Amino acid sequence: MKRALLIASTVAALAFAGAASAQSVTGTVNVTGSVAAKCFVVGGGDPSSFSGTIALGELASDGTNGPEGTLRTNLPTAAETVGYEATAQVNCTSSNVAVSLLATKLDAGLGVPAGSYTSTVNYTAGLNLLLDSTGTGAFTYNTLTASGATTGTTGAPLQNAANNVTVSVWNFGSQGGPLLRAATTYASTVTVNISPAT
Amino acid sequence: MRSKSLLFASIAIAGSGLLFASAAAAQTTGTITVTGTVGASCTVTGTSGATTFADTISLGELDSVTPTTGPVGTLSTTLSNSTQGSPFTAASKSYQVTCNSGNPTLDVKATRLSLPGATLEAGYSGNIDYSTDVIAAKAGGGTTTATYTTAATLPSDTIKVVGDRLANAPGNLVVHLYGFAAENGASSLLDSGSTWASTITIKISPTS
Repeated sequence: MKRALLIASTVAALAFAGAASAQSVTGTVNVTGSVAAKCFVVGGGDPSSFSGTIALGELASDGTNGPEGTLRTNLPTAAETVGYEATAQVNCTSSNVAVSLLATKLDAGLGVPAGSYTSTVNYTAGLNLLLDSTGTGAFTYNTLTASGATTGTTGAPLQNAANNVTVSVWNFGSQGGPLLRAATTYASTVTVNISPAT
Repeated sequence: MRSKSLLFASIAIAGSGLLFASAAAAQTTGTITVTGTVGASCTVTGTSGATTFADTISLGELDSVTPTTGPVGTLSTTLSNSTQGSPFTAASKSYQVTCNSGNPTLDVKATRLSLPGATLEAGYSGNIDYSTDVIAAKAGGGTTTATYTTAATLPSDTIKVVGDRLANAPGNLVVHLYGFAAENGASSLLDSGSTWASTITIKISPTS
C-alpha cells in the first residue's frame, strides 16, 4: 500500500514538470505610413507654380531674314532651340504624371487689322519632360490648329533632376498679313499643368 | 408481528458496526510527498495568460509637405532627424509584460518600411530604414535596451538579456523608433502610396 502511494505521487510530479516549459511573449508591432501623390516645383518660393519668359525680341524682319516688315524667318523651327526655351524642375512622387499644355496666340491686342497687316502670330509650344527609364516625354500645342488643351500622361516618373521640364516655342507663322503691325506688347502665354496620375 | 420484524433488522445493522470497528484497529502509515513547480513564463499584462500582443504605429505622411521639414517630397526631417537620444516620440509605444523568471531575454527584429511594388528609379526611394529600441525596465532600477536597425539585407535578430527581473509595473516595455533614412539618400523622393509598412517583432522569453 505504501509503495503504491509513493509511485503515484512521483508520477504526478513528473506530469507537472512537463507542463512547466518556458512560455514566451511575442509582440507584433506594425508600422505604417503614407506618401501622398503630389507634384511640386523645386526651388523658388511657391512649390505649386513656376513662371518664365521667352523673349523673342523683334518679330519683324529688317530685310535680312525675309521681306522687311514681315515675320522674320530666323525664328526657331524646332523644339528646344537655345534661347527660345524656359526650364524648371518639377518633381512628382507618383510613378505616372498627367500633363496638360495650352498656349495662346502671340498677339498685340490690336484686333483684326485690315488689308495686308496682322498683329497675330501662331506658333507651336512644346513641353519636354525628362523621365526615368523611358527617357523623355514630349507634348505639343499648335495655336493655329489646336482646339483644346493637349493632355496626356507620361507613363513613367519624372526624373528627379534639375531642368526636367522644358517649355519651348517654334514654328512661327503670322496669321494673315503678312506685314506685322507695330507694337511693343506682342504677348502669349503657355500654360503647363503637371499633376500626379494613377 | 410487524413490529417484531423491524426490531430484528435493527439489531443486524448494529452487528455490522461492530465488525468495522474491529477492522480499523490494524493501522498503516502512508507518507505522501506533495511537490510542485512553477514554470518560467512571460505573459502580457492586461489579458490573463496572453502570450501575444499586437499593435500599430501609424507614422502618417512620411514625406515633407512644406519646406520647413525638408525639400517637399523627400523624407520629412521630423523622421530623419530623430536619434536614439531624441526618438520620434509620436511613434513611441509602451506595454506591460510580466515574467516570473529572474532574467528574461529580449529578441527584436524588424523589416524595412517599404512600399510594396514601388519602382526604384534613380532619385526615388521605396524603402526606408530605421532603428527601433525595445527598452525593458528592470525591477532593480535602470533599463536594458535591445536595438535593431533595418538594412537592405536584414541583420539577424538583436538578442539582449535583461540582466534583472522585469519591473512589475505598467509600461515596463517601451518601443522607440528613430533614425529614419530613405534608401537612396535624403534628397530622394518617396514613392507615393498609402501602404508603406514595416513589422517589428519582439519576443520576451525566460532566460534558460
